[in-house]
Amino acid sequence: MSYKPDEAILADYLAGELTKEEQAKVESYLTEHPEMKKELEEIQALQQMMGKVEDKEVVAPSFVFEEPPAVVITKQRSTDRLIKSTLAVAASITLLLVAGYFTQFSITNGDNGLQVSFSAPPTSSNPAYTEADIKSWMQQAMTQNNSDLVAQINAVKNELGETDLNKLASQPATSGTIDRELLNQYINELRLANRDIIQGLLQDTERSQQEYLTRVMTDFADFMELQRQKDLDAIQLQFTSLANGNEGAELDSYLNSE
Amino acid sequence: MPVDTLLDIAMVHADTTIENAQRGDEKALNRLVSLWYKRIYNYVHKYHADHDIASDLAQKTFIQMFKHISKLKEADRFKPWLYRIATNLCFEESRQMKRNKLVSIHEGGDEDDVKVKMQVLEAKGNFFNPERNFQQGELAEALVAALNELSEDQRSVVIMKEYEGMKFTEIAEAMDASENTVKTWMYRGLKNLRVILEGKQITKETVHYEL
Repeated sequence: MSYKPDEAILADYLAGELTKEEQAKVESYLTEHPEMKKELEEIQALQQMMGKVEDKEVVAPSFVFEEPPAVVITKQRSTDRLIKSTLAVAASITLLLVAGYFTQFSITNGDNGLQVSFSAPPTSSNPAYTEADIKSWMQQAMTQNNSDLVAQINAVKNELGETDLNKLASQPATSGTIDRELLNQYINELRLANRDIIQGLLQDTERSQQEYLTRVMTDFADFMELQRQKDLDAIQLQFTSLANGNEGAELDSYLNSE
Repeated sequence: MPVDTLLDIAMVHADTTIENAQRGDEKALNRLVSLWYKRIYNYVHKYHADHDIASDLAQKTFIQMFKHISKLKEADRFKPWLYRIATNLCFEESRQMKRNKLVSIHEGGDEDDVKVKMQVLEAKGNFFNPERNFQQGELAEALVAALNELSEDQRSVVIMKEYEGMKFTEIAEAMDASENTVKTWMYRGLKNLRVILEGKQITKETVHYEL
């Protein structure tokens, strides 16, 4: 037989992680190679011995996880910079205002256009036109403007005709109702979509909760099963040790004859 | 992972905690420490056979965890990822020890430590005396001392498999090696360990432990 299990297969064998097929292969190899079988048995005994070493009990230190201090410092620096620049802007504005006050800086928008000066504002320089003059000019301009507007409106009215105007008058009412219907439809759609989203979300969370619970329960069941198995093993062991020496001798002779 | 205790169940079902920790939730981070500290401490303790080093490296492992957990892509790969950090720190510590050993000729070095420990145990009459029964604590000490004589790769794999109950895929991830390589290390490690222990007269015939 040419089959020889490699070290990786043997590791799997020792860990009890072979498939039944591979397990059978290795076992048949071992019956043909007793020296290998002996070595593996000794390693298994070692594993059993290693299993007797218990964990050391330790108390976990209570860590205090904080943001890295570097980050905190940079944040402070940036606020400082902000305050400084704001103060600088404020100070320069104040300086300008103070300087403007002392130099009697002024900007006036008079009849002669925009005037910028560093002394008291100049007194009105063009008294030639009186208030009455200006008023009459304005009146003239307005009346002319009004008559132009009336003429234009009349022209437009003629163009459109009476019926069109009536149509236009009734238009806003209908468009308003359409808008309202559309709005209602839109709101309903939104409501339905929201309901679907929330339903989906609820179903999803319910499902994941259920899956999670099942997983926990399965593991817990495994744990209970393991405990039960251990207890059974312990009881079995007690019984075995109670059995008398004759049976042991019989078993030995039986095994030897095999 | 075998589920022997309720703590194990809590560790297996810590996905949500891990995800919260990834978002920087301090409570979740501290919960992860309380869940895994004992495991990591015991892993490092078996690797270096020293309480101070084990406490130090376990703490460093969790500081690294805190720094890099946001980079962990899948929460269910947390365990091999954490052991990888711990293993790298163990390797680093060994290198540091070797460097220190080169500097000071008279003292230091893990191998010397192990030798001294073995001498102390021998002086107590534990070895070369087949009549003597090993007590629980002494057996643990002798086994850990023997583990320290294995190569680094073999040592970490054997501890992760025998004591941390990890799957070969998880160990391969933690060691950054192929599964087959890990299995080979495992088999050779156990084989070497048996030879080392046999040399110190620790076999199933000389050791009587309560079953």
